[in-house]
Amino acid sequence: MDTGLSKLSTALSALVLRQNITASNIANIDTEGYTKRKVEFEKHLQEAKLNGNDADVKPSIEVTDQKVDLDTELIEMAETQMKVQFVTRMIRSQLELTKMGITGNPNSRL
Amino acid sequence: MSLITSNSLFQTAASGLEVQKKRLEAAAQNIANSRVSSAPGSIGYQIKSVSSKGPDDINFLNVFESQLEGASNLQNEINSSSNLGPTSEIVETAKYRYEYEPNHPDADENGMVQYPDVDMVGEMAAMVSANRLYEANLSVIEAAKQIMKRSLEI
Repeated sequence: MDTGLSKLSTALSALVLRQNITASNIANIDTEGYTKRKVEFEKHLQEAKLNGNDADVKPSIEVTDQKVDLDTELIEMAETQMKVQFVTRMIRSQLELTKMGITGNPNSRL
Repeated sequence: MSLITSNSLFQTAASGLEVQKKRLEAAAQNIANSRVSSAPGSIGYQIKSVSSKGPDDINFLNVFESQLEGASNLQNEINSSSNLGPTSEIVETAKYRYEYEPNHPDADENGMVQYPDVDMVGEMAAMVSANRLYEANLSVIEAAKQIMKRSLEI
């Protein structure tokens, strides 16, 4: 249970970091010399899963050589939003499950 | 999630807003002053443009660390900048065009008057693009607010 929650919190951190980087990309869209940066997390998670050790996966910031494209950034932002909604819902249902285990009442809600 | 990092999200978007506002300001000034005459050889109205500089790599590191290590290095966060937005300033360039108006008070002995060489089409385009990018930065702020709201609903 606890590892599930801590994984979800890492995922939420990674998503907020990604939102930060998207904000940076959009703010610097017409800055000379600035290239698109992105946060890799899902890839790392998948690789760790294949290696059988996904206990301590962290996101990373990568510098690409592409120019920033506004549409792509806005779409990425919308995607991050949806993922944040998903992760917060998952955290909530984890906590509800814990509470159900404690009280023994299947109708108990947070 | 560290609140201060979410703060840096707002800072970043605010820097983005600031740059676009400056671009709009520069365009407005250039258009408004496009017919300001001056005597040839003197310094008349100088064309304004915005030059911006990206964030330092250390700021990315700050944001990354504070995001993943949480509040453990709170002191560092306060001391070092985690603003990922650009820094910008308005620079002036002296570029002139000359028109033949012999009766003008600013005319030289050849009858030429000096005007700033404002590129009207370019300025109008800069205005529209500054507007759009301003909106994009606003939607970043909106998204950041949504994320914080969702976290409060856990």
